[in-house]
Amino acid sequence: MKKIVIVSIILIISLIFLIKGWVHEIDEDGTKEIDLVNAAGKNVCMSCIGLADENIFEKLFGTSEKKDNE
Amino acid sequence: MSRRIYQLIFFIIQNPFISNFMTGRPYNGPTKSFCAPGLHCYSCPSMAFGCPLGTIQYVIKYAAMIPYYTLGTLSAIGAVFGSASCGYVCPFGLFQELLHSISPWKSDTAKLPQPFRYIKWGNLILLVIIVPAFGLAQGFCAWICPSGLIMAGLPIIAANEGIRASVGITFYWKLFLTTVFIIFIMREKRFFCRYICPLGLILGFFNKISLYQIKLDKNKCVTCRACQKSCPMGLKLPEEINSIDCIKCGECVPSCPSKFGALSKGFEIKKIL
Repeated sequence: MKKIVIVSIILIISLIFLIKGWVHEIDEDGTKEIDLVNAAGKNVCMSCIGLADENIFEKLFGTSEKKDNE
Repeated sequence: MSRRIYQLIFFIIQNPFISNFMTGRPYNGPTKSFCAPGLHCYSCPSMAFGCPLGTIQYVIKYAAMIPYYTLGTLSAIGAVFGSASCGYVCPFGLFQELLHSISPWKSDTAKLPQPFRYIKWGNLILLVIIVPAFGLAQGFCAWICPSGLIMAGLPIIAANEGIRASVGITFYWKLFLTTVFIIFIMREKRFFCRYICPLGLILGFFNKISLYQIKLDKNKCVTCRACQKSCPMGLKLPEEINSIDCIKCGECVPSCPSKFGALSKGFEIKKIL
């Protein structure tokens, strides 16, 4: 009985999250989370296919060129 | 119906657009709004649905928000089935099992020491959550996921000359890592699921409380360990049945000698009702 209560609570929370994703606007343009999910799935993901050659160290620490310009 | 039939049916349901491999472009219809509970890249040309792991990272990285929708999807699936989708739905799980079955150097007992299972935790916390949260990258997708490379990367690169010209160090790193995974998968069953996959870990959180359970009758169990020999995850059975690492494939159930019949599987709600 205890387990069914826990599962029911999780399912209710899941439903709230799902509805939130479909309904709640996350920016001024009216974008909803489901729009992001759609966008992620419909485009060729550079990360997934191994072409995301982002330099994360540049993102973390900035480049020396930027520091020179400052 | 055998588990392999379920796996093949779900593979076909998730990959109906085979002709898209000719163009190297993913399907972009309405079903991409839904995440299939397995490790299958949403950029795969034939894939009809989204990947929950990729979507989590995408939303965290680009919207800097908690991915409520995907977490709601995974929670609902986990609460009902636990990680059974790993055993019945995940295409990469199917790929591993088929590859292992034809491997000339496979072993049914080979396994890395237990602490290696914590790599999954590191992948989940660091690559799926922290790295995207800092806006750096979709960490797991970009640097680890072999499903993305095999089912999306290689077909798309093969079909698109422009994308092929953009191949760089990250692609070669993923190619190297995927080759290593394939070698280990051929040796150790479900190697990737055992030690690497963060999606299985997320679903595994629900294993103890999910409605679908592998049930052990402790009064009938004599700890002969016949179930342990059949487990594709190399778990210590029967103790680790329904543990966070269990994929609820149910392979242990028929392996229990019929004179004992200590194992069964099903939805517990029938008992409650």
